[in-house]
Amino acid sequence: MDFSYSEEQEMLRKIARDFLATECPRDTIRQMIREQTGHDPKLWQKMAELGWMGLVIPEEFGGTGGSFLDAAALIEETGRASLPGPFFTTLVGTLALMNMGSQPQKQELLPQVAEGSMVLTLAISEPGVGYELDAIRSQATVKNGGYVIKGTKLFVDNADVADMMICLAGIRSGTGKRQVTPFLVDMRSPGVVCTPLQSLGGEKQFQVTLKNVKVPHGRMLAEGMETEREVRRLIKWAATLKCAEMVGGAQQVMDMTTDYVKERVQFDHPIGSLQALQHHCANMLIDLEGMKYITYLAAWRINEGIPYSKEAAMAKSWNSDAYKRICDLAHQCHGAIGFCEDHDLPLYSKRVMPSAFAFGDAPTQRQFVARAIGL
Amino acid sequence: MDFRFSEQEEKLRLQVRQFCEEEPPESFPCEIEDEGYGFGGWSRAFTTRLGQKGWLSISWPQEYGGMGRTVMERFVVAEELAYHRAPQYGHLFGDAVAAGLLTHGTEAQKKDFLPKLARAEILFSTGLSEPGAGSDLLNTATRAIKSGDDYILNGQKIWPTGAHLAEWSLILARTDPEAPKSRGLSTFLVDVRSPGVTVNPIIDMAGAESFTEIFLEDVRVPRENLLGQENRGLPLVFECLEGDRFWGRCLRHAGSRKDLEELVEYTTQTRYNGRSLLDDQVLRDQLAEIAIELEVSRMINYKAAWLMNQGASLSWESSVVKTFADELGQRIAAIGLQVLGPEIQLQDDPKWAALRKRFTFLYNFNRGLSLAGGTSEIQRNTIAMRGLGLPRS
Repeated sequence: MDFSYSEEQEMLRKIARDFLATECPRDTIRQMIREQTGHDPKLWQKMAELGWMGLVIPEEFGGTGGSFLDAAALIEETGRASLPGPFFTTLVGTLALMNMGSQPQKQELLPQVAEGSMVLTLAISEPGVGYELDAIRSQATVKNGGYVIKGTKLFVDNADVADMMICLAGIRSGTGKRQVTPFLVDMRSPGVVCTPLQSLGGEKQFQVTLKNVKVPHGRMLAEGMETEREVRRLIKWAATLKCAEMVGGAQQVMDMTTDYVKERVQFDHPIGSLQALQHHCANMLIDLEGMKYITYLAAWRINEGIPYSKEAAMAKSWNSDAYKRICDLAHQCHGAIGFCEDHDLPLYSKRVMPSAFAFGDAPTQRQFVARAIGL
Repeated sequence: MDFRFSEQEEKLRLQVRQFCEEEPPESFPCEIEDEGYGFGGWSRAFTTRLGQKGWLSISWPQEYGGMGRTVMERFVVAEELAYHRAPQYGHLFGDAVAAGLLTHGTEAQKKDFLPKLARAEILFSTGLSEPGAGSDLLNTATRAIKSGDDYILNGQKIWPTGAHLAEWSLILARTDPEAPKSRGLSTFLVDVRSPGVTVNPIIDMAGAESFTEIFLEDVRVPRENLLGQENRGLPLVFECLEGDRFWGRCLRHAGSRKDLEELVEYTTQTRYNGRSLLDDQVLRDQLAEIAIELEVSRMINYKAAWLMNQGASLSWESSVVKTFADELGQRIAAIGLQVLGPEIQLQDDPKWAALRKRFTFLYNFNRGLSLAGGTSEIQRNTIAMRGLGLPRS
């Protein structure tokens, strides 16, 4: 049994924490959120130079061959810093390429991702559809040796700055069976229309309409694989990485709140000496402890190739609810100052629900868990 | 990161599993029934059997009757026994005392008490709280006055579990009334069969006779039964309780996994109002939530066990273990009642009688979980002050 990150992972975390504190302080983040794209290419390039885009990419494709746990460790830090932009989707897209890509696809795209010149995003949900593959309506048809995709995708992160989108659409095989399949869609293709959404927490999300978008041959992922099984796995990995991001965010909210109640004096005492607030803080820490270890369990199981679907669903359910409780109490401890737009706390608390929704919300995860325990 | 148990730990787990199959824990008589903490009922017979196996003293040094193995191995044995609902409650308080003996006992005390504890020849209770000192041990009023080679104890203790069944009790008493409150208390190993000791069981609201009151009237305790230094009893007690908070609660996930399995079985086989309980989306959600919380509890417990296994002493971590486990126990009981419904009262159906009886008991008993061994409020004070460094209130 070992609950600690390895020395290398701790170093990765430390470097990431220091880098983000200097290069991406919260004032910068607020600025990025106010601006159109929420993406800073200069920062992106520096992150690429640190090896973040290539972290999980094998050396033969220009990366450093890191593990899933390495990725979770790094995402925990980007979550702590509330880093905006397409890093999260690029990482998940990379995992999709590595696990569902053909050798030529990997050879072509992974080196570009690793050097920072290829931004990836994910297009899964649709109007009226969350993550239930059977309900996905976008449709691909074979035409002139390539494909044509028609449909509407929702909540596509950073679609305006992404180069390539991993887009789920149904396609009929020779036997007539419809299978939901990921396609690599170049965002510059004619017929791709991105409309910004009014997001909950300042993240840049889009509706992407695909109007008979031509996708060339060789841009289908998971060819010759059990496609839907692979897609479900990818969604569980993404959910687990989202959990790691929430752990980092929750840790930051905890630290911020602890510091504040120690310093803030009312009634001639630091308010942290009041039991009402002490118990709020204790409840936050209990929830945070749970978030960490259930997330590490799911991430470790993925890392080791041990069955992980149930644990990933458990982590996503617990973290979605616990992170909300933590932010609720953090606001209560901060009082009115935390209610101001320029305070750091809303950077986290406004993103709780988008994070909870991403890759399946808590009730959806519990439906999965219910089946997994025999109900 | 690695959440596997070692080969040796897994081997030990299999031995315990095999033992539970060969000697079913439910075949041993219990003096106190399973209160749902996770360590089963209080059974002298089973505790004695564990002593014969060497499993009461797994992590103690061999020279004192232990097996010299790791804390994690001890944890694995307890966890596996918990899943089988084995009655391992009888040695819980002896464990806390053994921890005190190992770090603060004299050589003579260790040689005398530990082998007997390891073989379950003697069992302990812990006499800490008093009518005027519940969570507030600083206001302990029981007095110990030196008289020649002995101390004379006078006072009253309340809430010790199993003091009417155990031979010995660890008693906290004031040795120096002039000193500041925290520096005038000492701990004594008291034979409760001594003249002047009266133990009365108290019946709790679930109908169980598990906790007690102890009256001490001019009880003569030899000086060699002072545990640790005179007037240094309070830190010693906190140290023992720290471990006790963990060991008393760290099995919730294992014990309650069986509860959940049985509730799931009931749900899949039961129809109510003309439809299967399986179609009740609210129950499905609630049972899934319990499964998730049990997994979270398991990981929180493993984290603490892992820390201890490396020789670290627990501080606020055991309060997290305890608070989470106790409040989860209450939620399980509440949801169990919801699943079983009003028909829980029909206890003559042989198929579900045991499950219905168990949850009827837990329904009442679970209220005590977050009170015993330090209330959840006290635990939260500890978490805030020691875990987060918040200033004392």
